[in-house]
Amino acid sequence: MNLRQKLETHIKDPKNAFKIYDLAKEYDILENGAMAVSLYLKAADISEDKNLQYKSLIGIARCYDRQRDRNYTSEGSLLDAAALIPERPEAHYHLCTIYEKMKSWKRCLLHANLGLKAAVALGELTFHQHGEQEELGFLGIQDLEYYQALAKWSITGQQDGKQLFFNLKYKQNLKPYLLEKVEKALGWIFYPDIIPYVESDLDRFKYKFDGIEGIKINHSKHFQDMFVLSAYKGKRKGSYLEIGSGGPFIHNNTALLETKFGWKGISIDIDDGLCYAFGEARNNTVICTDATAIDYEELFKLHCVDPVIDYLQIDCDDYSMAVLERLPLHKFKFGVITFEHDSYRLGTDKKFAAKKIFEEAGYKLAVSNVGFHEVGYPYEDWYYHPDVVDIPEKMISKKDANFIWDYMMEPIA
Amino acid sequence: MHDLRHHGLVHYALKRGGSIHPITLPKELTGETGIMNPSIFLHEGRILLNVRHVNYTLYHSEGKKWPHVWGPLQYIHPENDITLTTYNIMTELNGDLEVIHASRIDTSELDTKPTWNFIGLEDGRLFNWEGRLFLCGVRRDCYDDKGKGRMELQEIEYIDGIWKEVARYPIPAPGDDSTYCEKNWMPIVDMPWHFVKWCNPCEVVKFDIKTNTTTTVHLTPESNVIPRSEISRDLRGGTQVYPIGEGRRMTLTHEVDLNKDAFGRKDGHYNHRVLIWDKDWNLEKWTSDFHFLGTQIDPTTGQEYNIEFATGMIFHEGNVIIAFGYQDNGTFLLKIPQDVFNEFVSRC
Repeated sequence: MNLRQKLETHIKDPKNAFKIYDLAKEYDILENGAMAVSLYLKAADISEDKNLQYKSLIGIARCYDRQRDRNYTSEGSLLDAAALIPERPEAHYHLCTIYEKMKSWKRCLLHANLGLKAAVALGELTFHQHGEQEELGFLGIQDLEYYQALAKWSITGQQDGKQLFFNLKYKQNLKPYLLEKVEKALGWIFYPDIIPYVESDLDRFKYKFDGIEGIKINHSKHFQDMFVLSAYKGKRKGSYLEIGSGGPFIHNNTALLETKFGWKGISIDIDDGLCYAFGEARNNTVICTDATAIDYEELFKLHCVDPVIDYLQIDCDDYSMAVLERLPLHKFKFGVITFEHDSYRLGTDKKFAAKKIFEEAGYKLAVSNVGFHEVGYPYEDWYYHPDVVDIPEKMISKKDANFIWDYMMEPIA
Repeated sequence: MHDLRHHGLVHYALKRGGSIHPITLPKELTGETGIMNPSIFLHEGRILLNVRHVNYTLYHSEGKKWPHVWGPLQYIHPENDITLTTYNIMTELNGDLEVIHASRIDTSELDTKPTWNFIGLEDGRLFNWEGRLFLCGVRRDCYDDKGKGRMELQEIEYIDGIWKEVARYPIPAPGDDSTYCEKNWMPIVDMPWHFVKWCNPCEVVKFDIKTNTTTTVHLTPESNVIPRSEISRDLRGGTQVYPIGEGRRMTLTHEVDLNKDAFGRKDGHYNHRVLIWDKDWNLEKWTSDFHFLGTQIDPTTGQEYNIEFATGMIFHEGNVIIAFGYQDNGTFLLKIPQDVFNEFVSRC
């Protein structure tokens, strides 16, 4: 039916709210928003059907929204709708769009969370079946998750907001228009400092190992602990030397090894505070000293360290090379090494100098230029010694640069 | 009577061979805000329709179930623009009353910096006097900063494919021109420079374009005024005034009931009537009040809710075509066979 026919249908049955709504929709589709507003309001006023009222109120808000600069009016109609049926997600979603324009981020986050709760509870399939999602301009849970991320970031400017954006991009098959928005956001807020492994990543994790099912979340910044465990297939009671350990858990590469897999080892850091916290929170040894001034042979002798150690971390920012040069690689072997060269900021001289040392000592490069961003930012090389560890072939990357997420995770299905 | 009270004149007409024609305009022209209070006129064989386009969209919760935060009836203009601005869009219609051309009347050469926030020529009636096409409405943006309003003749011509304002004639109020606001004067199409200013008592005024003065040329004597017991409200200007033979004239007027909601916030309700005057401007016939698209009636208070406004009418090929606005947001044409309309006027 065209507009005139729908108008006549309404006139012949003027108190029928559903016919008024149909006519309003027709005006809406024809982008004659003002008249659509009047009819949506009439339908909402006349009807006793809550769903029809709900849809009409959203229609009003969307028409005003197209007319621009009428945010308070759109907001009012959407709040009416949300109050009428808080269990539906559409009004919450549109409120997010309004609050984005108003830069009212706490309200945006509130309604993103309420909408997500509603959408999850009802199930997206339900809305598809009713064919109402598209009609009401709500295209699904991802849209609400986008607003959750945007609002969270805009409120705090902290890692949690970045993490939500990261999760959207890398853990979901985003609709193209959302992918574009998320990539744009990540482009200016940058990636989160930490890209954690969480238990929901298990299905996509490439290098599963014994005991991985028990890991809810790891502690390393970029999967170093998971790499070690993968290389050793979930080995229990391994050994490590952790140089530049930092805190006991946050960004720490051995916390997971110790707490979940029973590894023993020595951690070294120059920061008194971090060492104190480490000593309080962890059972394994921590030594507070300058790693560039240690006689490592003496240290190993003092602590009765075996000549073969499963894992070596060198994470000393600008001093990683100085530490490496002091290590007695001719007397001790390490199964897996994560070496920080920070070539994204220091250039590649140290990376290649270290590579020469490692290769002369029999190490092989497993993962070159581990980066924390899709476009690069290489900061570590990961090595293994074939005499010590039988690393799975598929863990040896042939790429010169390896974005850590892509290295660790299968593409999303 | 049942049709008119509950369903409106459009429903009445549709049941008797009439037709309704919604007017839509492209969003590029309107930005999707209100198009309303249209005035239709036959000019040199063309069906012209002037549509008032405003920068707001009326929010009117007739049933008051979903009032705006500021009340049930609100003009929703851009939040960064407090003006209520009117533009006039001239359209030409084909025989099926479909828009074949629409463009905003270019007033740029005569516009001045507004002194008040109701901007533009409002509720213009379209008509032809002495071969000149006019739009006559109220302007309130150029007299002071308090909203003083005067009727204004806007002469328009179709030049190089666009409608253009070529002259502007503000019309003083009769007497000492001391009133606050004049509006809704109805041009008498067969009496150049004459308007019906009020209907009951009927006041006819003449504008002298040369001396820029306005004179009352007729005022119905008190003895001939229809008492309030028969017409309860003020009859306000609507469409043009047309001659219908034997010196009689006909027009379509509106009435307003202003009221408030439970919190004292404004609301309103409009009715219309057809009036016929005899040759001496005595009201000879007035129909019952009616709506066009029907009304809502609050079952507990009896309060009716409806905003409509007719500002133009033509007689064309055996039909009466009435142009009316709805809720300040929509524009419609109602075509009624002449005999059905005549019967309606005589019976109702």
